[in-house]
Amino acid sequence: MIELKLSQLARTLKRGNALLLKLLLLISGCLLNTNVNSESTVFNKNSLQQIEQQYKNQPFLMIIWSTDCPPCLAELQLVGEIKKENPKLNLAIISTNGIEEKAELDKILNRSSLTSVPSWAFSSKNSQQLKHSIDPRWYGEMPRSYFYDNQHKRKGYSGQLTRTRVISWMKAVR
Amino acid sequence: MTLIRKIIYWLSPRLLAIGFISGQAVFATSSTDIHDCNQATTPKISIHCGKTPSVIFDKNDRLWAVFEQNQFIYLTYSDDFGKSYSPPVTVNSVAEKIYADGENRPKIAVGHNAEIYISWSKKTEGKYTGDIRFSRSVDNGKHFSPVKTINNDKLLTGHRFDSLKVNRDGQIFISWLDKRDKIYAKKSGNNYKGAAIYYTTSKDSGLSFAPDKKIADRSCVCCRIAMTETNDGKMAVLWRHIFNDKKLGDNIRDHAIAFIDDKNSSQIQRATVDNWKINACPHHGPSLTLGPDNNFHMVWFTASTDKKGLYYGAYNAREKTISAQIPLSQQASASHPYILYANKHLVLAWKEFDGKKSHIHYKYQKFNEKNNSFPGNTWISSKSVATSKKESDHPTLVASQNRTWLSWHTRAEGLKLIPLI
Repeated sequence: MIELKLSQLARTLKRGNALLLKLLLLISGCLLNTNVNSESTVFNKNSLQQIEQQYKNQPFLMIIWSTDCPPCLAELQLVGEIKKENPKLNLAIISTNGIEEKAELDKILNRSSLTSVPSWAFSSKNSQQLKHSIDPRWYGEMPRSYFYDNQHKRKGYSGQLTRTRVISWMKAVR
Repeated sequence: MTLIRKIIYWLSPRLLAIGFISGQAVFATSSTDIHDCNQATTPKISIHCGKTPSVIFDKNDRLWAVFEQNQFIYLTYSDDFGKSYSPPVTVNSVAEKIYADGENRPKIAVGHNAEIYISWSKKTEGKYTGDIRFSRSVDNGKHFSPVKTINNDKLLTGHRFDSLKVNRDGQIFISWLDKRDKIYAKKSGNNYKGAAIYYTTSKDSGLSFAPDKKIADRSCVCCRIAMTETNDGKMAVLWRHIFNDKKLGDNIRDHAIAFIDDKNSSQIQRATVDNWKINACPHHGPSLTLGPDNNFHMVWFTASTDKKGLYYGAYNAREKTISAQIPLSQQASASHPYILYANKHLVLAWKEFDGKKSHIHYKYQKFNEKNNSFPGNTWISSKSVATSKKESDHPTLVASQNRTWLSWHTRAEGLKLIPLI
């Protein structure tokens, strides 16, 4: 029985390129956190471009937060609730904490019901270069959010998000 | 070759390739610095390899520096203006988690009889919690007293962002952001906005401290406090406050100032009027110095609707008025300004990032003794005096007998001490 399954697998493997492509897509999906994966991955200077590519022609809400920002935690809680009610809401959540704090970050995201949301952590804590790569006009205050429409025109917002603000934007870009 | 081996053979190079790509993403940021901090198998304890140093010159122009590294606070000194440093001495004999970031760093002050006083914020269990810690040395920094907790409420809550100064009488002042009132409010079923500012004093060179006193409720929770001595031995305290404006509503995060002595705190006054309304953490505290014109000179950050960036202004305590608030830099990357009056010059320094490098800029003006005033908004120079491609700390200014220096810690170069004026 097992030998039969293995031989079937072997035949599948012989399809070579197609499978390799699928495998690469699966693993790069994990790296980019596009699937059901609660783990924060590293945010580097190319990550914003990758996020924008990932949500090509789709609206999405990008949230920047850190663990030393109490309003950020309240905002994550709220966004987690809205995501539960609106599973199609596209989110990208970026922490300016370093990736070495990943365990703590993931714990907070899980607690905020943001378990299946793509999330990132800065490759280096509070990196000015990474902040600059997100928005050279951003002063660094948090929480910071960017509302992207279908064409990826985006609006930045500083301060804790309210339910009304998020829902209004969702209606506008629907 | 068995089927399983075939699978492994087929997968290995591909997984290795993917691992290499992802590995590069993670490790591309490892630093190569000039002080070999990353080379040793055991961590090298050094002012250059540690984090968030604070510095002060004593009356003999010895530079004392305190820093955090691997859950310890260390003291070191330099007798050649930062070219070389003494072997670091451990302050806390038992490791503890310590807040060490730009806004929250260990502090140092020197007493009248060459005592070395050090304070810091210890991380305690839970989020945003901590205790204010203190230790002193009375043998020229060779040994330190057992560490004591300064806040006396014994509550597991936020006591962080300490500020430490010594006045002309040798009295020690420590102020900090405190969340004990949030706990009291919660017990009574009430809400509490922000944190409070508390302080304590010591008249016996740090052997004992007076009971904690509150300066004000409703401070912002994540910005450093600025403190400087007044001309009558009190302390002026400047912090980011949460004002509730009748017209604009709540969450106006401008600055408040108060004056404290060992007995009382004055009523708080508004020190900046930007009307920055935001429910967020600016992570951006002010800086304060007293000029010979008896004005309190301030620098700060704001991002209100019509004022964005770094600003300079002066507060007149006698008249309770604020001078014109002048923009220093409106670059979005301009951050963490510092101000110091010393040796007849008022000096400002701040950090900017150009997309590749961080730069420290500075401006200064000379006090006109004949007119007993500064020359208004006439500043000399505003140039990049130091740069770094790697991550860097906030800039601070420190004065020796005859000069004002920039103190700046970068990941690549360690602590730099650069003469400005």
